Amino acid sequence: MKFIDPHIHCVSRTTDDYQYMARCGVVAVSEPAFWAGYDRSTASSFGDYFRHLLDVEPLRAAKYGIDHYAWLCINAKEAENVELAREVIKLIPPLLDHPRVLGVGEIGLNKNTANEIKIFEEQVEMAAKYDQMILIHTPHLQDKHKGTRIITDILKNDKRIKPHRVLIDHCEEHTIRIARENGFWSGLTVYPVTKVTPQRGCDILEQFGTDMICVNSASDWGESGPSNLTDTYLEFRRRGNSEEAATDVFYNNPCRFFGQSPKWKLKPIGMATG
Amino acid sequence: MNGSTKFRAVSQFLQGSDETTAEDVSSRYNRGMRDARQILDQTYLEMRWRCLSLAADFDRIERATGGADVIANDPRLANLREAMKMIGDQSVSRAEFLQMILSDK
Repeated sequence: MKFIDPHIHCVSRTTDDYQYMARCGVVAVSEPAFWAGYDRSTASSFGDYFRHLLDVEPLRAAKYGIDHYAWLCINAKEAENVELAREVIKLIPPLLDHPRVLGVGEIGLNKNTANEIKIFEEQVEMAAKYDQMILIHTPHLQDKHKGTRIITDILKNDKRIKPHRVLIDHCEEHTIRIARENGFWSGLTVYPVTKVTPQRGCDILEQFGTDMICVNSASDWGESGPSNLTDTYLEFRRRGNSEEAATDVFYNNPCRFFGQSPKWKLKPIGMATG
Repeated sequence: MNGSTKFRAVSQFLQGSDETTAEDVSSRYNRGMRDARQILDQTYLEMRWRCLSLAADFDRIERATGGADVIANDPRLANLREAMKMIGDQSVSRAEFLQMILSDK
């Protein structure tokens, strides 16, 4: 079984995690730019972070046979500082042609503030202008439902944005319909404390089908880990789903979404069972 | 570390702000006994996801073949319903009462 973790923050993870992923069959990952656990003080800090994402982490991953791609943006939390956010956004367009960049992400909202919305709209504008795919971060916990609505309304109102080139991530039971009914890809993040468990992730796959859904671990500096992805695979199989169906969810679907970028090289494998 | 030792955290050093005392740091890292608000702050997210997991467990059973009958009639689920009501109503010893609900009579 081959896996792709479509959302993981490798800069926050140890080599043990890379070894674990390699042993389990993870052959590729995508890493969105995110909040590092503290607010950075200057745009140049982001410049170094982007260099880490594009030049350092792919080499680190390659040692374990893992193909590493990235997404660039200023995250929703630090977007609260509008002045800093605009300086960071200026750094991004020249980097979009980098062979490891899949698009703009993870952009979205954190606490649904006016500043966050302003910077979100400016980054959607950037994605549209440069014809980039978009990876969306939806808020946590009590802010998720309202924030997901705001995000999808903004995206729907921009006719340049094609929903099939956007993935709405961190969907849960109460938000996945919003993503799917509007034609977006959706992401399930198996991060039990604040998002879904392997069991609830599989419940959602069973209820909504596996079309246009990616499952990820979003492993970062919090209580998370790449085993959440493989545990979800085990739960999926334990329920009687076939290896082919699992391949569709855990490998082919990321290939289908990311494959809209010519930079993504892996192709779907096997036969899809739907 | 001596309580009167003066130093500056890195962020304070970078921002040129005032010194922090070791007592400040001690109060941040050695809290001692937690009060109720602190316990809730530290436990809430886990309580939240355990609650969601239980709701999803019921949903999963109900969706499966024969689910409506099992949900309505299985005595184990009746026990869990009673347990959830008790957790809301009971003022002390919830775990002990729950164990008795789940014990052979």
